[in-house]
This record gives sequence, structure tokens and C-alpha cells, in this order.
Amino acid sequence: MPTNELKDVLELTVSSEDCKHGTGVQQKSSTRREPCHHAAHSNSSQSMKIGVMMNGTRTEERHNVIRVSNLSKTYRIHEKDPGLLGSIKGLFNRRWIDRHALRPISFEVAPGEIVGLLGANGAGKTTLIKMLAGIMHPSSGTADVQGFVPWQRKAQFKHQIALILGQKSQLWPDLPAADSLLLLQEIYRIDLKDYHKRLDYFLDTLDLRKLLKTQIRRLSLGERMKFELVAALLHQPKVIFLDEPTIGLDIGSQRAIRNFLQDYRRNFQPAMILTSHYMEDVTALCERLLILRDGELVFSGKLADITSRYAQTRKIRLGVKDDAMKAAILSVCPVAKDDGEDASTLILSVPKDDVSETIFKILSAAPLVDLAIEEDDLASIIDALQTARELA
Amino acid sequence: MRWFYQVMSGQIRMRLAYPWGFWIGLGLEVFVVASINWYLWSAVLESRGGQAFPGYTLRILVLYSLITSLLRKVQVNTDQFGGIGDDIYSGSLNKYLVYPVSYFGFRYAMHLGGSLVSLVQSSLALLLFWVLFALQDMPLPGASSLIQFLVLVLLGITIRFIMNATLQTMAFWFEQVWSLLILFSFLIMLLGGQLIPLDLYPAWAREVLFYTPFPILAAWPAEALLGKMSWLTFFQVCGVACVWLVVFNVIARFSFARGVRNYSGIGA
Repeated sequence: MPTNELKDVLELTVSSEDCKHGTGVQQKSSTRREPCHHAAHSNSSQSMKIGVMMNGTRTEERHNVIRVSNLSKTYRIHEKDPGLLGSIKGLFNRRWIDRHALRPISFEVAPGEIVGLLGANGAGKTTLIKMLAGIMHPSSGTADVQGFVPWQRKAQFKHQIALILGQKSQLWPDLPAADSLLLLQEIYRIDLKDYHKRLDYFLDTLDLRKLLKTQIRRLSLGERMKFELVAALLHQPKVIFLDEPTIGLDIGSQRAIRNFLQDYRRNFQPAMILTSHYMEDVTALCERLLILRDGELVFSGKLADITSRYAQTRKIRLGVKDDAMKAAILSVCPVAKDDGEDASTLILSVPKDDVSETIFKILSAAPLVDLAIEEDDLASIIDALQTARELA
Repeated sequence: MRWFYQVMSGQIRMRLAYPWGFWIGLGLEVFVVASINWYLWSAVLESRGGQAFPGYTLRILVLYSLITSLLRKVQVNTDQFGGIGDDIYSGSLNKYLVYPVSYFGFRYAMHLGGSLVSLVQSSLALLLFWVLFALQDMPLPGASSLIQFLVLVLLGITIRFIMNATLQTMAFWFEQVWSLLILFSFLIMLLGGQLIPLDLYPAWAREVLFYTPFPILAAWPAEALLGKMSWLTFFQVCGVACVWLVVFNVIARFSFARGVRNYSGIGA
């Protein structure tokens, strides 16, 4: 292997590790980007690269199938004053403003990885997904998905991705699902034998066999969403973008879809980016999170790292018997406050390292009826990150 | 290209799932168009002292109007104010952009499927009207007229699709394009001979219009069905239509390629 190429392999190892451990916000990849043309990625479905290091040992590392570098999107939208006069004015004088839907963002995703893309409404999640699926052109930056530039929309690229928009259907509402799926078999040129094999797997796993010949518009939302998944995954894409796949579904349907996605990931190892507002989706499916706030990446790292990194305080609840006990506690710990909902409880927030010292101080001043120490839950931390709210 | 057939057949099945809306609309259209044209052309001929136009009796004029009216129905089907422009406006384009097949090809297959259903239904209605109303002045078309007609209808469906597509890609910049499509419909009425046979236009106007894409959408197929088109004219008309097809195809694809860079997929 030529020295330069070997260097690429070594650098890629570093980048993958960085990415896997999520070493922080806006991490910069040290990977030299390979040119995105077909010749360079003729075997782009291959996810492992083998190199020989200078000392002769073999190395194996995973190609990240999604590589995003400084990708941004700015919309140019016109503002209109309210009312009829505003409409008339707008005919002659349009006021254009730039809206930064996504500020420069960089990250990578490895095969078999499910990355949760979280953020409040309007944070830029769907914009990012649309750019990576090739629907939208970015304002700046680069992206490489399975070796292709998404917005060039090459047919080979489209064969390797799937986009599932929870709020939009790709099935024909007036026809049974079987017809839409047959059409997709033709569009993706899936061998008929493979098609039937895959369809059997989906129908059995999602319990859809009895609904295959029912008009799509007569199905429940949950049933329709399951067929949307089948339609999107029939060609076995290597990269899957899921934009709120469980939105509006009942708890049972949400669970069925989550179980299916876990099972599918286990069997086929695609890279997935998932957006969802449901914490159950995030905790059940994602190992790693990207959190956006107003188009900016404010967190990139492992799900498990969030609490250790951000839950720096503990909430202590103190059960008291009477006002005398309350006064005694307040004399040694004046930051404690009445719990608004329960008059016999005091509440205080302290740095996690000071918990034992604080409790010892309180217990030396007064006996307690009850004591509880609470860590900020994941949902609160993520919500705080999304909205720039201070954690209590 | 089996996917093309699948899309087309899917569209046909969807149209056949709800046939009654079309039959009711068709029945009303035949009645309204025939009645209006009957009274209109009666008044025109009366003002000429009852003298018919060369080759066009009152019944043939009404038949002509009905043919062009049904042609519009066949060519437009569901795409009049929907189709590509609506996909862009509503964000439905998203789902087509991720398919590894041509978006225009996909839409054309849908358009063709819908048009074929409309053509069969319209032909049945037209045959009934012809036999009951116009047979005494105009015999049913022979094989050569039918072949010319069907070829020109197919060309018309395709040209109408690609002209509409060209206009509808403007939605990338203007969002709403229905006013452009209405304007285009008026142009076809006037320049395509949808209301009045081009034989009744001044000779110079007919000569100029021969080289435009408009008569292929109305006048030429109607004249072919009425047995008024020679094979030489037929081939010339096909040649002109093919040139326009290429021209509009290039413009539509260029416009789409430029416009899609502005596309934000809002609404989806």
C-alpha cells in the first residue's frame, strides 16, 4: 500500500475513535476526505478497510458512511407586514432576510450506528436530514454519504439510502400496499426472489401479512407507518434517515416500530440518523446524540455521557416534622427552600461533590423525617440543552 | 423501464377505483359544451344567412368543439393545477427526489396512465354523441383517420405534459403558478383552435400557427378525426411536434435542475 494511502487509513482510525467517543461539540475530523466520485467508491457498500502499518501489523477500521464537514444552510425568506396594507406593500417592496437554519456542523456516523438528532421544533433537524438525503442543497460545507455527494442525487446514491418522513407518506393511498411495494421492487430493481424473501421478513416481523391487500388509506396510522418502513427498507439501504417515525402513534405502535428498528439494525447494520421528540425512542435506539439548538450543534456525544457531563448538581428533598425543625435546617443551610407543593418538605440543589457534606451538616442540626437525593433525568438535561434553559 | 409501466398501471388502477366522478363530469361537459356550441354556431350561421362554412356544417362544428373539449380533458387529467407545481409547493417532491428514477419520467408515467383512462372514457362518450347527433353530416372515422388521431393525441398528451412541466417548475421561484397555467389554457383556446377550427382563421394565421406547439393540443387531432388531414400534413405536424417536444424537454430539465437548488422541501 502506498505511504499516502496508508496515512489515510491511519488517520481514519483516529477519526473513527474520536467519533465513537464523541469528544465534544463541533469536533473536527482529521480524515482527509476522499474524492466523491464513483470510481473511488466503486465498492462503496464495503464498510471495512484493511491496511498494513509500517511495522507490518494489519489494521482494520470502519469507514464512516456519513461524513459531514461544516455543513450549513441559510434560507432567504421575505417578511411581510400583517394586514391588507402589508400585502399591498409586499407587492412592490419585498423585504428579504436570511434565516440560518443550520450553522456549520461537522460529524460522522459509522455503519450499524444509530445517531439521535435532537432539537426543539425549528432547530434544523429536518433541514440537516434533507440535505443528507440529497433533497436540499446546502449553503456551504461538504457531506459524503456512502462515498457520494448527496445533493448530486446520483442513482447509485439513491439505491443506498432511505428517507422516512413520519408525516409524509410515500405509498399510494388509494391502492393496497402490495401495489406500492411492487412498484418499489421495480424502481429499485430488486430481484424478484430477494423481494419475496425480504417482504416475508418484513410482513412477519411487523405482523402485516393480513393487511397487504388493504387500501393504504383504510389503515390505521400505526399500520400505515409500518408499511412506510417496509417501503423504505425494501431495497436494504446502507444509510437510513428517520424523521420522527413514531410521531402521533399510540404507545404499542411506537414500541413495535422501535423493536423492529433494533431488530433491523442487528441484522443489516445500516447507519441511521433518527429524529424524534419521544425520549423512549432516543433511549431505546440511540447510542450517540447530536443536539441542535437554533441551528447550532450544542452536544455531540454518547447518550451515557450526557448525564455524567451535565448532571453536575443533585436535588435534595428533606422531609421535616414542624416549623422548629425547618428553622434549624435553614440556620445551617439557608439555600434550602420550601417545596411549593408540600409544606413539610424543604428542597435544595447542591453540586454533586458536596452532597454528603451538606447532608451531614443538616443531620447534625436536626433529625429528618425523610430524605431523597435526585439526579436530573435525561429528558430534563436534553430539554435544557435544546432550549438553553438552566438546569435546576 | 418496467417501473414506468408499473407507475402507469398504478395510476390507471387508481383512476378506475373512482370512475363515477369522471363519468358524471364527462356527461355534464358533453351536455354543456354541445349545448353552448349549438346555440353559438346556430347564431353565427344565421348571421351568415344560413350559409355553412366550407367543410363545416352546424353539426360538424358542434362535433369539432366537443372533440377539442374532450382532448383538453384527456391531456390535462389531474395535472391542470396539481402535478409538478403542487409537488414543489407542498413539499411532496421530497419523496420523488429519493427514488433512483427520473422525476419527470415518474410524473409522465402517472400523467400517461391518467390520460389513457380519460381517453377511453371520452372516446366512448364521443362515439355515442357522434352516432346520435352528427352521423348524418359526418360518417364515423375510418382506420387511417383513427391512426392519425391516436398518434396526434399521444403527441398532444406528451407536449401538454412537458409544457405544463416547464411552467410548473417556475414554482421553485414563485411558489404558486396556477395563474400561469390558466394563461396557458387561454393561449391553447385561442392559438390551438380549441374553440374555433383553424380552417376558419385567416390563411396567414393558420400558416404561422402551423409552426407553433398549440394546434397539436386541439386542432390537429380534431381535424385528423374528422378526416380533414392528409398524410403529408400529418407527417409535417408530427415533425413540428417532435421539435417542440425536444425544445420543451430541454427547457423543463434545465429549469428543474436550476430550480431544485432553491428547493427547501417545506411542507413535508
